[in-house]
Amino acid sequence: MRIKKSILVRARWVFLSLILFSGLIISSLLKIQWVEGDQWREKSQKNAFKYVSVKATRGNIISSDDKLLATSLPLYKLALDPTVSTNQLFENQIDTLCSLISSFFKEKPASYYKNKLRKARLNGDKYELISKKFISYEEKEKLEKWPFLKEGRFSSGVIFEKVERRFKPFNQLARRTLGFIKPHSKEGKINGRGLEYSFNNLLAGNDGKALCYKTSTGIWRPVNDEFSNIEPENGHDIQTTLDIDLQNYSNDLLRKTLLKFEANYGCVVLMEVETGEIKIMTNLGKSGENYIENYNYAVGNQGVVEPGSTFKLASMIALLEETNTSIADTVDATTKGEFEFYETCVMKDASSWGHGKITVKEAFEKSSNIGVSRLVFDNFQETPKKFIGYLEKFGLNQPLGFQMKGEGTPFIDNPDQTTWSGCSLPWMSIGYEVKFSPLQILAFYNAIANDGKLLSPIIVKDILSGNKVVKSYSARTINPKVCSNKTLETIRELLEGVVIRGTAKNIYDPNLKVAGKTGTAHKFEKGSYTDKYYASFAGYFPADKPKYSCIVVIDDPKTAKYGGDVAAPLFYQIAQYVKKRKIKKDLEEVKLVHQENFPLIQSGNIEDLALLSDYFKLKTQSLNSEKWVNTNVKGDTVQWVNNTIAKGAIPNVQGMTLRDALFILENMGLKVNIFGNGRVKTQSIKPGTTLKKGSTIYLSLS
Amino acid sequence: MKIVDSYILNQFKGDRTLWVVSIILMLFSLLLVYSATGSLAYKNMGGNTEAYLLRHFSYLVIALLAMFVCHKVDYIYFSKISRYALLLSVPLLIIAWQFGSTYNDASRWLTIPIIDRTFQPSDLAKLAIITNLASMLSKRQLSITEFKKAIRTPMIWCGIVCGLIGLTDWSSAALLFVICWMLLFISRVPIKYLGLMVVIGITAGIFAYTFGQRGATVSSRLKTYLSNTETSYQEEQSHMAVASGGITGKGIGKSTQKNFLPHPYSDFIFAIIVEEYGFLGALLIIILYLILLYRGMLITMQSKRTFGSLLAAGLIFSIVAQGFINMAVVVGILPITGLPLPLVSMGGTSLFFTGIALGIVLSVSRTDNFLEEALNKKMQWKNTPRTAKEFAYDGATV
Repeated sequence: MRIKKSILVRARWVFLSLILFSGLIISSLLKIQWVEGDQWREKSQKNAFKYVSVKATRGNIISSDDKLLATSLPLYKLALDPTVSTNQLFENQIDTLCSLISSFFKEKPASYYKNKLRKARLNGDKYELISKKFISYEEKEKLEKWPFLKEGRFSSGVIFEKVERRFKPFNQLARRTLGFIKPHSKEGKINGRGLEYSFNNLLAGNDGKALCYKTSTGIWRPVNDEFSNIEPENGHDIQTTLDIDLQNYSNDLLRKTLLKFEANYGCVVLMEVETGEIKIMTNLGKSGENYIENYNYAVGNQGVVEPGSTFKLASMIALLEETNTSIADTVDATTKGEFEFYETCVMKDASSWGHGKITVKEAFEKSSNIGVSRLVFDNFQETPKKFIGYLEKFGLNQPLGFQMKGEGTPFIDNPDQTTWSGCSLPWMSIGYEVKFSPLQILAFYNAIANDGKLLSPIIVKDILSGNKVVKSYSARTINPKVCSNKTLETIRELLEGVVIRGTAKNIYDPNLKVAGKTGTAHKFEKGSYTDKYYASFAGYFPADKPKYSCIVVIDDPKTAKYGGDVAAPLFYQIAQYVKKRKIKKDLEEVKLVHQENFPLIQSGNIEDLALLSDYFKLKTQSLNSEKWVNTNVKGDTVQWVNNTIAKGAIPNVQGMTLRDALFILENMGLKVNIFGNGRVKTQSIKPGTTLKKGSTIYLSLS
Repeated sequence: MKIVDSYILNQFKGDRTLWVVSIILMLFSLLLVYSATGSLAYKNMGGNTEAYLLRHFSYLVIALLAMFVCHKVDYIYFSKISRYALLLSVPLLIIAWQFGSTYNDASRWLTIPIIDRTFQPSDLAKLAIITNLASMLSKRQLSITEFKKAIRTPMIWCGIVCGLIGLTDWSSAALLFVICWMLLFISRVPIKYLGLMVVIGITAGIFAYTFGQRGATVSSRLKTYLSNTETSYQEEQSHMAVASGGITGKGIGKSTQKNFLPHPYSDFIFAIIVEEYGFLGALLIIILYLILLYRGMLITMQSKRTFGSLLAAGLIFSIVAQGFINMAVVVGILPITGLPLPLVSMGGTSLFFTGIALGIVLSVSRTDNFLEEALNKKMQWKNTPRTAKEFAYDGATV
């Protein structure tokens, strides 16, 4: 009993202490509610909190071959709240920190930062920008390990201000096509150009939210990491149809051309005939001495101008569709080079001595203004609206509905307008009193190449989320058949004729058949036509089996004026490059050394191959004494077999990487022409053939 | 119907008041958790607050079941069970420390395979050491003043368990240490050894501080607590909640501070109680805990055996003390601990083991009621085999 009593007495003491403790809790509760109550309640009224948005990462813009065209990179600015740190921390480490800052940014001496921070600390300034320079993520990680800064946001007051910067890895290439966004003058709205702007909703994603409270030091700090937060949804990627290699090539070429002709601006658009996918969209405008992507002349309103003779294609189709005119019929283009429709309407041809009596075909090929306008005038004089009806059928009267915002609006005069006069119809027939963007003219030419099917071109193919396609676009058909097959056949013959005999015969190449039409328009400025020109060439290739259509526009060339001289050569060079890269040439197929898939490395330099095989732990066996080898597979072992490169004979480069093949062939003095991607599949000259220096060898890669 | 009703009610043995108070607290917790998880549900379950409510409800049911089952078991058996549980909890604690899932920077959690639920081994260890300590100390009552014979082993166990828990959960370890010390005190351990125990405790504390994961947290919390000028964010916010509650509170689910307080459904649930139900609501909760304490004390006194007394005292004390510590944090008496409010806070493991602890206390009350009844019927209880066994087991009854 004594034991139990003793235990119970002690237990009572323990329980009593807990009861006392509860009394303490109640009294503290009352103290907070009544004594300090007003203070806390007031504070809770002011409980400053707000949702701070958490930026979603903007999606990428990628090329058709998966190259990054525009992406977002996080960059940081270093700032410091010098009031946060304790005296001890601040005084102990300020020297080290400032000398580190000074040597990192290389802007100011350490003493400068020291004074600045000390002063701010005394004044109670909560924000001191250390440097305006942006630092990368890697650099930020490095800085976070510095003394003082490593104490973190809430002990040292370090602030890494994150800024997302849009980065275009290819710099100037297609810059305007890719576009940009910027804040609108109206709050909450954005402004911009190009794809960045047009697809902003998809690229931007949805910002998240985090509930933040204002600390006593005035910093917004997330209340809690586990609730009240909505995760940001990152933006989609958009895959364009652009081919960055072609874009790059056309960009260089266009710049050279513009420099050569001291032109004002120029643009090149290339489109895949069947799919309507735009592979090149290059725009360069004069900016000082240089040319930069300052406006999308191919699409925008500034590029909507009177096209001149490229429009004769439309007149010709209308004529062929409406009448029984044969291209062998003749028309009198006069011998003076002038024809007077009315007193004030004198049509002139480029050559002042006139073409005389010519066939319709010749009128088109030689781009005779008098010839074409007389034909149209004679046939549509009474029914100009019928002519305009054709233009509407060709989809030329309204914008294409292109995926990019800011598409220019075309203009076609008509008899209901006060601007309409007797001169209108003949002038319209040769591409005046109508205005189109280069993209519209191209779409029209593409329809001819595409068996009459008029497509609205596309530049964005897929919307991606991660690697998954969430939405795909394909070119919309505007008109399945712009004209009859018979007309189509005739018109294609005419377009080919332009290059064979006509105004663009300077680019005639039997190996690369181009069909197209030149255009040389007088520029209309301040109410009258000037002696400035708008030179262009629109067409497609290969003429017999069209794969690509293209338009080249050079505005205001100073040292030459004709589309045939200015724009056509550029067109031809691009066509040649595209053909090389994209259109396979039928080659004399030479038997491959190995058809098996293993090993992938079929031929090459022994040292390289041995290194690779060692790395991948492949068993190898050398039957070799030379530098270049082929491979043989014996079970799981790779054998090296001599690939003798004899002097004076064409070597066997099949199975080699392009780099190896180029090295060997070019060292032998051969010109190498390649197409395709990957490893050498076939070569156009058989191995062992006697070497002729300077001859061209074609390599097909796959 | 009446027969069925009374049949079911008859299944609930033991102290009726303890049952009723526990169930009232649990019902209260349903309301609170529903209100406090609003934002959490918004984030994790797409705004489905009911999901948390359902989950909490199921935990409550499990806790009640555990309580029911345990109260049916003769508490003598817990002596043996607790030994195994103690031996099991040591490796579990080490595994949790080294490999456990991290939540709020402390790896206190182990994932149970198959059912894929996390649980805290420290809750198991806590229950095991209290029960086992009661058993060890009751057996050694006759030689309680002898260090080697009676005191050394229990003390070492206290040191091991508190030290291991302290590695991941410093406050729980500190509370457990206080409970152990109190058990030793009640068991009449001489003052000099109780002093030694304090030394052991401090050593274990330093050990955990040095090697554990929570050293930095503990020191910063203590620093803030001890500083006169600095009030931590949580403290400020919880004071705001307390002050804005007034006498009658803002009303059910009207708390605004739940948006600013971390773990409003657990560590700071008392602040939400004051804010939503006012001073009166808080007082009710405190009174309910005091009733638990009072009934526990009655059971301690009525228990015919030292083991029963120590067990009931230790377990009730641990539950109520933890509750009061949780409240003390909210009103700023103690530094921030992260201990849940037993039976009220959301959290499966805590609820489950609290249920078991209450079940054991009920078992003590039930068994001893039965003995009392037997005595009243003037049964020769000393001659029954059961009491004979007990007599040998427990040297210091009656």
